[in-house]
Amino acid sequence: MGQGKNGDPLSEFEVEVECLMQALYLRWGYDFREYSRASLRRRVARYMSDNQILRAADLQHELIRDKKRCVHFVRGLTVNVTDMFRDPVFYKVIREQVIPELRSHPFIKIWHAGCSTGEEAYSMSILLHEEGLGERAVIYATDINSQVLDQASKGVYHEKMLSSARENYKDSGGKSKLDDFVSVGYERFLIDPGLKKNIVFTQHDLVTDQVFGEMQMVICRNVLIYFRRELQTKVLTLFHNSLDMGGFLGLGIKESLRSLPNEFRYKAIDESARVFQRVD
Amino acid sequence: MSQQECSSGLIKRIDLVVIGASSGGLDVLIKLLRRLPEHYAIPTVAVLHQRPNRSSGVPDMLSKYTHLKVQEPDDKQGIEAGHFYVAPPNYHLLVDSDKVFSLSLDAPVNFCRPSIDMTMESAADVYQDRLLGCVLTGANSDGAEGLKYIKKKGGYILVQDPQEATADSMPKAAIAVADVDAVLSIDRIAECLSSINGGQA
Ligand SMILES: C[S@@+](CC[C@H](N)C(=O)[O-])C[C@H]1O[C@@H](n2cnc3c(N)ncnc32)[C@H](O)[C@@H]1O
Repeated sequence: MGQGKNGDPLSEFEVEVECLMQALYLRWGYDFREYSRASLRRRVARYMSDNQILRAADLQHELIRDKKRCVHFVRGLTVNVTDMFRDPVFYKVIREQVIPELRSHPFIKIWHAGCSTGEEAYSMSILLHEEGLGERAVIYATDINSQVLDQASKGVYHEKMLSSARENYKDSGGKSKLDDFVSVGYERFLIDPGLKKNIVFTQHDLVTDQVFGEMQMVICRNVLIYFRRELQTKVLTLFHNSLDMGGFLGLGIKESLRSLPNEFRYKAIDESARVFQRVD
Repeated sequence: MSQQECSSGLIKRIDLVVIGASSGGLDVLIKLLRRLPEHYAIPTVAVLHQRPNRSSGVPDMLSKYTHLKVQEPDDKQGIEAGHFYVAPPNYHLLVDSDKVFSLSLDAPVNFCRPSIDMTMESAADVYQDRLLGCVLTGANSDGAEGLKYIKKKGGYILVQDPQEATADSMPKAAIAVADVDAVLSIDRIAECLSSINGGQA
């Protein structure tokens, strides 16, 4: 190696980041080697300065020997920003164009990959309950980061997120009030326990773990943006193999199927909302 | 330095232009686009701070004033000549090693997402001395560190004249922090961009 993709030699720090990723993979099996470099490097630099680590070699030394450091570092590498009903148009399209097709299924399985702290899965659960499908659906909500999954299963969020959540809910075509599904108090809001019953939160690494079988819908939003194109292709293949024929795939509002292998066929349910249907 | 120098080959080859703008930015971008000649085709990225609303409508607005194809890039979209890219609201827009865009939801940097600094720094890592950075009007200091970094990598940096800018703190911060190649009016900036690479992209 010794060269960047465009042929220029890598800088000192760039080389160090490559070594860190290699060490993390060889020692603990976390595979960030095919993540987009621009943002990954920033996060490594950020992690080092937040934790007052001056030399990458010191970090690497510890990383190889200390599992706790590894878990901490992996948390530092992942970006966990999320929101309830983020991009309301996405949920609107699900509600108006996907739900009618799902109604014919006796049983509905949905996979939220990279669910972070769970807001997205709860948003979907609210939508399904409103559409009368709550009892027939199971949501598998997964992430690589176990800490965010702990938060997700609690279903407790800061009150300051509530006003945008209410607004998004309304814009997404919500039929009642968001407050019917949450209780508010002590600067927090709590997701109604009834909405949790059909959600299973589990750890799953999109890079190293296997397919998640026979889903009617796979939703993976704002996770692929952290991957290089080759890894996107691999993960889109994983989703393809996890989807039922005629199943739906939902991506982030700025993500596309440009990395999809040619032989897979999808049709756009709504191009700008990034909702697709498997047709081959 | 003067416009004379700007066009007289001082700027070596430029393969990407990154422009940062904040308050007053939309108007000044329109002005700039109207002044770019027909032959201008260097891929150009504008990072404009906007209210974090859903769909910005900025590309449609800017399209009316230019022959360039104005768009908010998707993740992993390749960077192409003849395009004027606008950072999508609420994401950071990064340039990745194989000259594609990468988006990120990292926390705001100095309260900004998109952050001008982040786009400029990532672009400088990839384009090195073939990058031109430019900071226009704005009421914060985003872009100053980005310009400094571009300069460090051998690129070329321009700032809008603070006296002309609707909000002068962003250009002033840039001038204070970075060793700016030229401080110019928006008309001059347009001329300068038109003249680089011998006037043809
Ligand atoms: C920006 S969040 C997106 C949250 C939510 N889907 C949304 O769009 O609001 C990205 C999430 O992807 C997760 N992630 C990153 N790499 C992953 C991997 N290899 N496998 C599973 N999840 C991953 C991160 O832990 C993080 O929670």
